[in-house]
Amino acid sequence: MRRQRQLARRLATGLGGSAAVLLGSAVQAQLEGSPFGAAAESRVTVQLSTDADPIGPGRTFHIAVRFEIAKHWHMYWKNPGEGGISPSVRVTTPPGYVASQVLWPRPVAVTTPLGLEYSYFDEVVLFVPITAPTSLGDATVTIRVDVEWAVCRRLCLLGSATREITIATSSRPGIDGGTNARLEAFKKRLPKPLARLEGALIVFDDSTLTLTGPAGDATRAAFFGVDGPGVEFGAAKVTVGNGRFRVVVPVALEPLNAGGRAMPVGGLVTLGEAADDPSYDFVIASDNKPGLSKP
Amino acid sequence: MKASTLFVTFGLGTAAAVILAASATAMAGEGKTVKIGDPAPNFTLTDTEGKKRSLSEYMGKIVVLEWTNTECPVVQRCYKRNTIQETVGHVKKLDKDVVWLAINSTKTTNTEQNATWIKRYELNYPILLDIDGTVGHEYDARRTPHMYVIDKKGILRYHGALDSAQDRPKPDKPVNYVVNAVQQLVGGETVAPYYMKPYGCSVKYKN
Repeated sequence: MRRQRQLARRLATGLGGSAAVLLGSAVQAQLEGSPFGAAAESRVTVQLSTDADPIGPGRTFHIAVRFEIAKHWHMYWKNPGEGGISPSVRVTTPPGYVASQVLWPRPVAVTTPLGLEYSYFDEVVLFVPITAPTSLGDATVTIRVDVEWAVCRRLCLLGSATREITIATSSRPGIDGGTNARLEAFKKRLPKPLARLEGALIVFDDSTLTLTGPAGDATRAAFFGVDGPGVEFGAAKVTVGNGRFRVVVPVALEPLNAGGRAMPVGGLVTLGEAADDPSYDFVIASDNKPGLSKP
Repeated sequence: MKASTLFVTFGLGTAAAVILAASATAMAGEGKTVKIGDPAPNFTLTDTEGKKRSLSEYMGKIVVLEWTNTECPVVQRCYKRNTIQETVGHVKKLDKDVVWLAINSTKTTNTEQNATWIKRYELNYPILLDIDGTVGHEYDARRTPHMYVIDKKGILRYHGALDSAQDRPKPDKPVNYVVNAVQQLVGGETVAPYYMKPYGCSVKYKN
């Protein structure tokens, strides 16, 4: 994690005006005359694994999509900030299996001349929860994952890959597929619901979001907003003191830009700087129908 | 402003309090120098054939501005997948008089590079060179592609992303915001959305 921070700092300071998405003749040369994305695929390795072996009836398990990123390059969180573009993960499952939204670990905020970028360095594991049908045979199931990504250094390259994973299934109810110690370590990097953090408070009026809560031993905190249709975040003011964090961030809501869709106000608070330090996410339904969505 | 307040606590003893007072009409997505509903700043730029073109000469027609960079992988993907070309075709079907102008504010670009691009993709619209970035800064163009739709009276009605392809989860059929805006203008409707966060490469300005 020290290396991750060093890289972030180096990118933030060492590259000066070229820290964000810079493109030059080099990338053109790499992309010309080669299959689209080939250069990006040489800088990112994609692997699948799972915490289910076998899959039990009705069980929710995870497909882990691991991106190994070449040294000094980076990818983006679900909101890239003022950076490039975030990776997409499309899961194709057999009938009866239901995939939920991708779970994203905490990113690193990198300051660039254009603003904050929300990035991953070295490696990142995205988790896709999948719920199996309640009736299964003793067989196998194959799940396909199509991914696209931008990987950036001084320039950005676009890549894509398709991977499949075949997993055993069991007809026995209540079967536990066991654990995958390596995946469990990566799962600890996933945010927990802020709404369930004792002592946390989420206050949202028409234009300002205020988050407070216990900071534990952390002396630093950060806020990452999730831009969405009709929702824009301004610059967040984040402080830590007396064992508590406080985030105050302006939010602009515009139903006209939501296109009839909901306008959830969501984001992430991270404590400390290490990848496995605590982080908490939240989503507030704010689409003129006051209510709360559990994170 | 009316503010409804909802106070929610979770059971389980470990709970956060959530106070929600939601009603909002804030203008989102306004750049520093360009505002939806204001006259689009006039400009005069030179295309790859040396012809000077001014925005003002297209008054009375819907104008689409496409900030572009032939070296940007996102722009390249848009052209390789025909996303831009199909968008041009679609808006021309809605109104054959729609004017499409691409603008390249990349500091390192040149006439030959853009002429080659036009030839390669058989484009029937010009790329205007803004190498010093003056027009790009005036419009606060941040990305390539970054799209602007101007109505027949010269009023800016939309700017931002080309489509919703960067939404997460990724949509099966992205919404094309430029087509949407032109369709609404042709139908005499209010353009909505009028701003969607643009995605792509940053504009490589000279300064």
